Amino acid sequence: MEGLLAALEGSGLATWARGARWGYAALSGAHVLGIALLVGAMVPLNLVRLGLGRVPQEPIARVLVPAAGVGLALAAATGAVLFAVRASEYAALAVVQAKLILVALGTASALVLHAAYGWFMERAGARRRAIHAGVSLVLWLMVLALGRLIAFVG
Amino acid sequence: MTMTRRTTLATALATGLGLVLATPALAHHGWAWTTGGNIVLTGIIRSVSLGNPHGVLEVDAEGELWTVEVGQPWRNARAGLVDGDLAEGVEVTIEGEPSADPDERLMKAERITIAGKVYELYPARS
Repeated sequence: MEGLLAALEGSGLATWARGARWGYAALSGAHVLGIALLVGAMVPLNLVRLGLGRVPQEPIARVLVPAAGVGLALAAATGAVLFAVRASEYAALAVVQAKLILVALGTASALVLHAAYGWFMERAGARRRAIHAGVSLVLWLMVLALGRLIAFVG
Repeated sequence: MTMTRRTTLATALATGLGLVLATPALAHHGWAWTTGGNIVLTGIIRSVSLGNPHGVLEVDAEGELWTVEVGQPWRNARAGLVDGDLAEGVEVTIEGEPSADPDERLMKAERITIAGKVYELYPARS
């Protein structure tokens, strides 16, 4: 594990990001954009699934599911580089460990659920959709809060 | 299947929350975690880790090892510091705010003096 973290820190990409002024700013900015897309799509989508507004879920899901997916991919890709910049320090932080566990859980459960019930959850019943919407809402907001905490507890 | 997944999730959430609550307060973002007053620390740099998101020095001040947060690359460069200024064995005088928890021996540098030359990391702060 320590060897892996050291290798991440020593990688060319991490070394570049550690010293880059605008590169690091762009990386942080892109990470925030990813989070904004993910959370900004996930919150209304899940609230609709929980019954907010009594609007048809399918067309809303067709827009918001891809937006959340693109946001997650962007946040994960940029987050991996940001992590690599100080891999061993971040890996030792409880907030980072908790965040990574929740990101892995959220991503895995989204992939499993969408594989089982369709990309827009069209094959799931309203009750199942509502339950998973509630879980998703809590989980991703916790990820957001834990991520923000990193800058304050490191 | 659903039950198992839900139980796993609940366990993970509880673990996550427990971990967060158990984390010691060791903040570095902003100034909310510092005392609000400045101290001056003189010592020899024992280790240097520069770069984003912020640099860290370990400074030996008469046998007490302090962790000193310095700037990220652009802030250090703006202050006039060049590669090699902050290096092991260099004597530095650091002025800045210490952590509100004195046992941490942690401070955030506002200005650094090396060989009589002052480098202002936060020119607006005094």
